[in-house]
Amino acid sequence: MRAVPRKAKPEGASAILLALLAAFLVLAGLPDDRGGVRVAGVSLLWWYGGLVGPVLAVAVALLWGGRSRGASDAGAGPPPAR
Amino acid sequence: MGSILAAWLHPALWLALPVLLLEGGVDGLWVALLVVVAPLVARAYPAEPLPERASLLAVATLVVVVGLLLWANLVVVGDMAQWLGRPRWHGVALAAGGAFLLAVLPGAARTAPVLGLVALCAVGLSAVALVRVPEADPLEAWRRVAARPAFRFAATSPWVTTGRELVRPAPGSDGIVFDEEHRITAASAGFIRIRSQDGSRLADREWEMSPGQSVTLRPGDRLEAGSALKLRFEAGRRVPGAPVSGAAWARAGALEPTAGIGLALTLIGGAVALLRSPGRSSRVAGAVAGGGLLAALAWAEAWAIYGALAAPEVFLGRGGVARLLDLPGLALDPVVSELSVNLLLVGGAASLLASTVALRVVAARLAAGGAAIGRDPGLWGSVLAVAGLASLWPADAWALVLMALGLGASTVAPMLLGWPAPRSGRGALGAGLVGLGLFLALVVAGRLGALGGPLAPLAAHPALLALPVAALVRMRS
Repeated sequence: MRAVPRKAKPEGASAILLALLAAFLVLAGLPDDRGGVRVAGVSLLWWYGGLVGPVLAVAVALLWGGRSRGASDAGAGPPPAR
Repeated sequence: MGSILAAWLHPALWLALPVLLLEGGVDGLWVALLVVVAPLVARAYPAEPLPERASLLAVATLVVVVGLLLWANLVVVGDMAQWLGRPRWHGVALAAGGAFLLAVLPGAARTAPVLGLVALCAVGLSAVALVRVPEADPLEAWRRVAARPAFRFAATSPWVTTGRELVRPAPGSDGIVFDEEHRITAASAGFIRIRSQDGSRLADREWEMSPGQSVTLRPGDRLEAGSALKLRFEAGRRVPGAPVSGAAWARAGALEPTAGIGLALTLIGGAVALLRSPGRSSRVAGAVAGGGLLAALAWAEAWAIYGALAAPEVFLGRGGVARLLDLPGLALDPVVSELSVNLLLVGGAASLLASTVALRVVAARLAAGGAAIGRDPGLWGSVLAVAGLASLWPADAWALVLMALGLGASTVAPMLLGWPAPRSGRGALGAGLVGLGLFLALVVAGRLGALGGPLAPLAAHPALLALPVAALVRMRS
């Protein structure tokens, strides 16, 4: 997996993640039940909501959201509780 | 990031997913997608540090949010105890006591990752037997469920052969409503209540039943348990409460857009309130969290789809965690069923303890000085005591989760949203107060029944209005 340049803005990840969510609502709202079109026996909407959307979201979060190296969240904010 | 995962995936949330998928189809799928994506959105955007006055409101609100989430989780534990035939307080006292020990014993919080791992293994294993029953891969299983012309009682179902005990329906439910004529037979002595519509009149009747005695219910009749009573249903008849057909369950376009957006704002805003903290996580931690979220989704889908395929009677009667615990008994042989339920109970208990630790950690991270709050045994002892007391009465755990996340989304999330840097910090307190005021007003209006018709989504999801308005206040300050 190629590392995304450090200048990549986290706002970009948020926007893509929100767009991935919006795509589900669009697919669900398509006229004539087009979200129900079957691919390999399963409807497009279920493919998207149950597999493709979540996997893409995790991939986007990994590519954009994490630091290449360095601190974990344990040291990121104020000291954690015991 | 492990603490983020444990704070988000508490039992009241992940145990609700398969039930929502079963009951709601596409509606449930939307919730499941949001449960995966919301924490990723929350963690993708670094938070601004809050000014001191604003952080006081944020931390106080977050303590209430965590208290509501603990209440929801203890309700689930109480439901589990009740399902096992024990008094609710047994489960609640055990879980609240364990959580309190983890809050006060030095170093006890370090057990959280182990507890999380135990939960993951136990819960994952609990689904293995169920998935093997219909001898179908996941795609085939979904296809078969979606192709069902109706969800009907099988001749081998325990509800048909020996009969099962009808218990009081979940709080807020309408009992068991029949959509076709159905003869039910008492397998033990007791009495039932039936509400039927006679023209424009509602009639309530109560029958004392002796073993072997039957009564025929008409479409629209509603059955409630009057006492502990075993009932047998007719093979081949539709399961009351089930979707009309598999196609109806799987159909696109069933999702109501305004309510869907309200739910999204509630879950994403709630995740921002709970999970965001200054700084960002490492890629490895992100991979662990992402993997955990996907595993939870796969588990929920497996329980819902294979459950609907192997035992359509799961739609009958009780909602919430009881519906989930009923499922192995309907689909598996007794020994495997008991093992599966025990694994689920162990996983639920371990996850609850890990989550109580993690929720304190995330509440403490929100503001400078928050660590002291996270370690305060008096505060968390009081929160657990109040939540434990409240959970002695049955409640809708999912509604409590939405209430908690909605409060966080309306009050804390707008304060944390980072607008272009120069205005950082200003107006956070005002935004939080506006959001809190609107949230409370909408909750009260909803309870009083003042929000009907097109305004109903506001009663169900107050963050639908409170979050955008508070965010606007934050932007303009």
